[in-house]
Amino acid sequence: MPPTSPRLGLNLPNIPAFTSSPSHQPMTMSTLSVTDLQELVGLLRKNPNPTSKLAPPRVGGANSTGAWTGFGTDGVCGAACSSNCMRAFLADSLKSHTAMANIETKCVVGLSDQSDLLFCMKDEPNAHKFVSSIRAFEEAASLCRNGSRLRHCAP
Amino acid sequence: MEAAFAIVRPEGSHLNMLLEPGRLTISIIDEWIQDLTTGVCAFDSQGALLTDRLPVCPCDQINLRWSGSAVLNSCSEALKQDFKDLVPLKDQTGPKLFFHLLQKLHRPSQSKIRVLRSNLEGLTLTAYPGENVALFCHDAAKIVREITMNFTKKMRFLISPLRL
Repeated sequence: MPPTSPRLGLNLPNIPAFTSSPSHQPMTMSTLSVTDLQELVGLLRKNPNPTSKLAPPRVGGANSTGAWTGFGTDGVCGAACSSNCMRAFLADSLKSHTAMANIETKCVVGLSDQSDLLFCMKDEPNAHKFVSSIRAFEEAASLCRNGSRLRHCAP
Repeated sequence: MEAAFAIVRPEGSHLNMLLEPGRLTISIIDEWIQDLTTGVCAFDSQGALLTDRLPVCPCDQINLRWSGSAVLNSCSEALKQDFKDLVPLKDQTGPKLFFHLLQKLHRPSQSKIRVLRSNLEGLTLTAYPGENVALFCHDAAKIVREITMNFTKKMRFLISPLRL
């Protein structure tokens, strides 16, 4: 039965311990126990499992995946409107960076894909659509509709 | 990102920049950005202001930067270039850029409110095909929304000033 490592979640193979042997005269290596090996593997792992829980943001919440921001689907920070509301992940930094890059791309796009609703100078053709543009921008920013319900979600 | 546009005032009131842009002033914006970078005012359960501020939220910092980019990307090329020249790079946050946007494009005024009010009063249900109430309400809501954007003070009751 191979020794198991619940911390790492894997079965470690039976590794013969390195011991000082009379046949290898210069060797002075001592025994490498399973615990030592686990620690060594833990240090060498590139993607350690983060165990800390993220604190909820000022406006938003935290779930098993990470922390999200915004007033949520119910306007009182009950649940995130979409995955684009995520601002931090319970993952290693490289994976978090990759995920956040995708979210950033979607969040900063604004109204650029709705050319008829862009905010314009007064001498440009769509200048009269200012109010519609604000409404569209509000939608893009996933703003809570009812202003009176705005409040801090986190203490 | 909406949290960057929902201002929390020191007296405990909230000001949604996108819903009531007429109430914004440069001092309110500067104070809000300062709050987001140093800690937003905290209140107890009774709504009283606490001496300690909330800790700086890293999500607010992200939202400030991203909302700035979102505002810029929501502008025409000419307007975007204008803002890039006008607003220093370090100040290109969502609330700041949105305020500059308002300064350029939106001037709240009582005369505009009067015009909108007369438009609202001119709406008649019989003018809509089949006296469609839903369409009527949709148009009325759009006008009311625009009237709200021209308020320069907090209006507790919308009905009263409009005399509906």
